[in-house]
Amino acid sequence: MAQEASLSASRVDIVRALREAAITALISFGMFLPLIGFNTVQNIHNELVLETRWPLLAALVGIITVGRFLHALLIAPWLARRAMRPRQQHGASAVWRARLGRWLIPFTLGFAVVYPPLALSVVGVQGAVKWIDNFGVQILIYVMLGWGLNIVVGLAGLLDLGYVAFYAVGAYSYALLAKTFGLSFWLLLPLAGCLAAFWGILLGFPVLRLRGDYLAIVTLAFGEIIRLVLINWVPVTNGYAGISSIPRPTFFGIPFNASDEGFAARLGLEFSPIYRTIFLYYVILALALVTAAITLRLRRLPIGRAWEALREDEIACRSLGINTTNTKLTAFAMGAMFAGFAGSFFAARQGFISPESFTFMESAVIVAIVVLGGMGSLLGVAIAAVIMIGGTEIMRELDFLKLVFGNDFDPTQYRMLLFGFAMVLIMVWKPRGLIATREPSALLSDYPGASTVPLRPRTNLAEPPLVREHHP
Amino acid sequence: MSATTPEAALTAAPPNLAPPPPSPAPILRVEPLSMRFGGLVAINDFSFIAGRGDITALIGPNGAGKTTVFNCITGFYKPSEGRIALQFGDPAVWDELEALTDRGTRSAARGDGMLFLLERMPDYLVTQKARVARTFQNIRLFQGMTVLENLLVAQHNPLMWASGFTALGALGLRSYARAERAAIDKARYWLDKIALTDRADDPAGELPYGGQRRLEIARAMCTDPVLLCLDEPAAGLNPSESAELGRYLHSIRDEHATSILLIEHDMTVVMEISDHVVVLDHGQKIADGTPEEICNDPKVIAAYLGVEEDEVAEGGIETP
Repeated sequence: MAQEASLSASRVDIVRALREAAITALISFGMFLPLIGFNTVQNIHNELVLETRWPLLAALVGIITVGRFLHALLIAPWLARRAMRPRQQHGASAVWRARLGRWLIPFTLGFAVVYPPLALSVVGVQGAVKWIDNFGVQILIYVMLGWGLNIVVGLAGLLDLGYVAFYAVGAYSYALLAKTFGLSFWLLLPLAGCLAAFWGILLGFPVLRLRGDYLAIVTLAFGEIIRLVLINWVPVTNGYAGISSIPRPTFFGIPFNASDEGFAARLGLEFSPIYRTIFLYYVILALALVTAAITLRLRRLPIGRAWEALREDEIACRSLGINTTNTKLTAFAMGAMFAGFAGSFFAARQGFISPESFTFMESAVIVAIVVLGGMGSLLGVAIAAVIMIGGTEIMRELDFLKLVFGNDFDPTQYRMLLFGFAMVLIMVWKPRGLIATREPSALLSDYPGASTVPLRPRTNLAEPPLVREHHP
Repeated sequence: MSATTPEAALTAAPPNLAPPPPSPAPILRVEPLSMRFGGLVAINDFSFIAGRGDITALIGPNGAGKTTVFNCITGFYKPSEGRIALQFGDPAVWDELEALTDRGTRSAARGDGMLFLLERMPDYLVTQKARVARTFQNIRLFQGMTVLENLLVAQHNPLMWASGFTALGALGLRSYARAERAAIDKARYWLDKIALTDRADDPAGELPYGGQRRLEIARAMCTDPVLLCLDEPAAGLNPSESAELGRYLHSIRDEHATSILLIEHDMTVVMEISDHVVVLDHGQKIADGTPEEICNDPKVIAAYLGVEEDEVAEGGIETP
């Protein structure tokens, strides 16, 4: 009896899945017919002719239809069942998550510190340069940029799509000042940060009256303006050709070169580029950690609270006597300053910069890192940077895919596709970013006082209500 | 506490004619205030006085311009015409009013008395310098931040001073730690007062509606105002919560030397707690007086119940 019931139920399920699959097939056929089904090519007489690609079209529609059928038949009921199940498992996963949360940060920090020796011992000197430079330094630059932008976007809630402009200001400040005046990296690092902050304030002044989408559009335009100035102001920036042979950073005055005065010779070691790479790795690690430390400190000060309040409700801020213009400008300047630090480090590391490195794409990647990581969460931003930058670097290593797809296949070409895919997945799975918890900047329970009412333990901060839409 | 102005004379006179005569020491004087949005006249020659230590209610039908008056007082709108003067400290400074108006500056001081022309100040300075705090019709809390953080953000300006505009605080100086401690104690005082101490570390958005209303008032009080402007504080509250609100407002007035100006639709609340009522309709003042006088004013009844103009003129409606 029961078997019969379940049988008829499964038959209903199959019929429903078939119907959904059929509808999906129809829609995908309609969409792909003009996109995939027809292809215009130029023939030998220079004429445009229409070609059809029925097999490809059939294959795509087939894949989508089968996928939808399986989803409707298996995955959707499974998800529904999981939602129905009692919360027991969630409790266990919460304990597990808390344990992970406690150990993740010390572990990550420790790993970041021992990463260069680890890479050296695993892949040897030759391989380690690539692993430390392409993965370690590259990822840490984006971690730092992400943390810097996190102040502007994550804390103050100002969507800045032109962040790369300040990165460019820092890089060109270092390159030009170091080449022209021969100043050292350590002197120019704070100077580049200050210059970037200055430009942040200068650009910020006229645009900070705008909010939301309007601010995003204007900052995007500023990013482009800076890039166009770099391209067209040839006497100073050398235009598209960029600036080359930028002085490299020294180990507190000792250069990393093959000369007798070089780092290796002084320590009695054999010359190798690995020393500079390791040094640069620790420099950017220190810079990134300084960014994190300052952000954490500022969050607990009135200015940090005012930034977050600004993100929540600007009008309420003004009604409490907060000068919102100044508050926004400090956030803008602070974010720009960290971009300036990162920029001057970037110029020193590369030894060559050109406007090519400061396109809108870079801004978009940094914003994506902040949004995917979870606005305001330092750990989330770091994880997102590792995934997105490390992921694209990993793709260079996937040579075996050429065996599958043929020699013309270049995995890095699919970077943007995977970027978009990751974005869609995160937005479906975790719309508020990888880590959406917000740690309060002050807890009353930390300040035992004369209150007569006993404090209730903190309830679920893990799932705060969705942020209201910010529409001007 | 009775109203400090001779309202009886005012209500008898036709509205919108002369500015009210200066009272002994009002806290706020609004003199022919007009606000036009393009061709729309939202407020027309509106004058009133809020007495020191009074709870002044601003009432009127929907769309009468009450919130516009609030926005003008708190600096969110710049009025088309008019003068909004606020004073605290030594009342002798009121004598400076005309000189200040002619001088074109924002404020005047005499002894410990301060006089401000609010229409000349940007919104955040109205709170920071002139010590006017406000709440909003649709509650505007920082929903994702905790209840305690909401009260700390309200103490932004003193804390910024104490932290040496972030520089000293970032270094972890003890003077800042003391100031933060004091800010938290103040927040705790208000939390105890609004019975939300046990929820201090929860996000403000998770509080029940009544709690959010109380928190918004407490947050405004954390800015140390001399005048508290409340935009429909009883909206959405049940009768017992409204009664509690009345006690809460009385204690604010009596214990914190704060005068209150409020917009309210709930007439029971208005009649119970206010010392002085001003009625606004179509941007014009139609009545001004004690709650009893307002209750019996035929113009007010007409405005609320909507009768024909001539009926009012003939006194054709009966007072209930």
